[in-house]
Amino acid sequence: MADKKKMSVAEILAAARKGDAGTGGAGNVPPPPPAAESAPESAAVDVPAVEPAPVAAAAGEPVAEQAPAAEQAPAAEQEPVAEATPVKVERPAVKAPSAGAAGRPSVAAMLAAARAGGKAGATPAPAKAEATKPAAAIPKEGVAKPAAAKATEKTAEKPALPAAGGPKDTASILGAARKENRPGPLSKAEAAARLKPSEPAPAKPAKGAVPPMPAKPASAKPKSGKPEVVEDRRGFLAFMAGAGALVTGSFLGVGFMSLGATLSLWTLGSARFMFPNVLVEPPSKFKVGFPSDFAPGQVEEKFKAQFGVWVAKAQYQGQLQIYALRTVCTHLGCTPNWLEGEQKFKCPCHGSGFYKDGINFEGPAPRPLERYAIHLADDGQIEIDKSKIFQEEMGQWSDPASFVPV
Amino acid sequence: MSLGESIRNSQIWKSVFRHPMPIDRRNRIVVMLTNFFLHLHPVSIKKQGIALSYTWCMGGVTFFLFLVETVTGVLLMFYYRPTLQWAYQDILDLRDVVSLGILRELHRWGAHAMVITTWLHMYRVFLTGSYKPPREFNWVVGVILLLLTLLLSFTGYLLPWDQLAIWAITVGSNMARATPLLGHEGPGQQFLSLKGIDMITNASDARFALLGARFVGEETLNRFYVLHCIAIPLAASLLIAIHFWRVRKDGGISGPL
Repeated sequence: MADKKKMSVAEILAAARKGDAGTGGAGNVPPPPPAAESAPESAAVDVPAVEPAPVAAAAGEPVAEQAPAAEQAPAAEQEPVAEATPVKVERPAVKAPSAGAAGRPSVAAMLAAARAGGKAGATPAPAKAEATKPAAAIPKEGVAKPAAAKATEKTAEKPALPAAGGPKDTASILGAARKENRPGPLSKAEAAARLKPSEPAPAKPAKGAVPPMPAKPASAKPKSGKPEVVEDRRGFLAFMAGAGALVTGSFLGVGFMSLGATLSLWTLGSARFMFPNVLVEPPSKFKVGFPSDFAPGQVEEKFKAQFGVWVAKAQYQGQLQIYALRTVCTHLGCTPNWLEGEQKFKCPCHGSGFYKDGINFEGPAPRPLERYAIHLADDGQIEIDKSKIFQEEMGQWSDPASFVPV
Repeated sequence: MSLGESIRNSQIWKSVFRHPMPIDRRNRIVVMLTNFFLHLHPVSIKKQGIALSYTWCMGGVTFFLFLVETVTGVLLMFYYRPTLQWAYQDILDLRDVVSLGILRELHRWGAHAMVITTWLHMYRVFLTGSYKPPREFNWVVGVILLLLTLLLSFTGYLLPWDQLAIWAITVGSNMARATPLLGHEGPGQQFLSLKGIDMITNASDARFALLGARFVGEETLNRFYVLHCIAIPLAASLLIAIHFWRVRKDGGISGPL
């Protein structure tokens, strides 16, 4: 590792694996492509371009303790590395110490060490330090972790195979480290940084050693801004409001539109259904006989039960006329009786009394009885029309339609 | 803030719908759980549960027809009077002089269709073996529902009160004369006697209980009307609820064999 500065990432990886496997099982790693090759790619990547360096540095010093790794950081920083690369490296970083130290420290210890190294490495680049540091050492908080980590694992497993039989193989260590991959609360900076890494993944194949990163399943994609579903829902609502599904052109919209239209038509039809076209009830217009059938001063009660009317031939304001009184008390709507002996209408409910011409004179009734329209039909009979009412207190009894003069 | 948003943010809306719009998986579940009408339905179902080729949707269609019969039947009750004087005339009026005269036809067609779809539903359940454990009790409930469906048709048959109705019920109820023990012409009725006096006569047997009289008359009309509009629909509603609930409790719609 004489010229660390010129080391490509692949070289670093190879070195890390060597340290990990101890016996140099990393021999099957393909030869590293020239560093220059990956340079343009990394240039295109904006955010993490700088941060990977410290990580790589940490990984590049597998056997050594962590402090040197940090020292190395500034140097490695200058080396352009594809963005996803550092993430690859981060695993070996964890592995390396385990292989190097004879005692095989626990994962926690390794993580702690890695964290220390990450922090140290991050210092040279303060601007990115916040977002960078966790990514480098602790997958849990890591930037770009989910994307690149998987790829890393695959490459890392190869070297691990020859080492199988040792107390702890790479896979198990990785597994332990991976457990910390749970998504946790993110700071804003971390969340922002997290969104980017999914794209740079394709940069990998150039190195040859790492398979392309699988695309994230839809369920794993972070929700950013307003998901499209919201738009659909809005469209749905708009259609519900009557804006029209034909605009959106969706079959679902057309279906709901038809359903809604059908339901409203049926509702309207049912409302119309409730209004009968044929009434089975006494007609409002009926004939009660000839004027000569009634004696002067008589109140005829025989139409009361069927038609609710008294036909009287009596004086009103000094004039003899035939009129039809409605049999409804003007107090609260009871049906009064005609008392022939006392020559008055008397309501049984609250004692209201009316003269023969219908004028109220006792009890709570506030106004006279009401008249129905009455006239002589063509055949000379008296015809009563209950659809029209005449009220004395409003001066309507002088209307010729309210009586038949004798 | 758009009109839709202001409506959805109003206290009235929020008092009715206690969840956001179902735009994600969690809220879609919450909608199913908090809605009275939807909570009978499972939150999630197997894919073949909605496969037309497997279920034919015959149970769903039958339930839909039951709803149609309920709605149209309630509307018809506003005009129909179950009396000898008015029953037939009201049926004619429903066809000729009342608006939306097709309602009565819909009720009749729906009844025919419901009998057909009930059978088809039963046929499907049989073919797919869905009557087997643990669903055997739900099969029994379904058979009772089938009987109620047929009884609804039978009682509704009389209500138009024309010659077809009267004689159809006369013939149909005559079968009850032959009920074992309980029919006055049935086997074993002679055993039910006290000191030589028959307990089962044509005025005390099963047919009499069905008709409320010795022959089809006004009592029968009123009796069938109440059975058709109140008693049987109530029983059917209860059993339908149990039927649906058991579908869920017995593991959902059965899978392909």
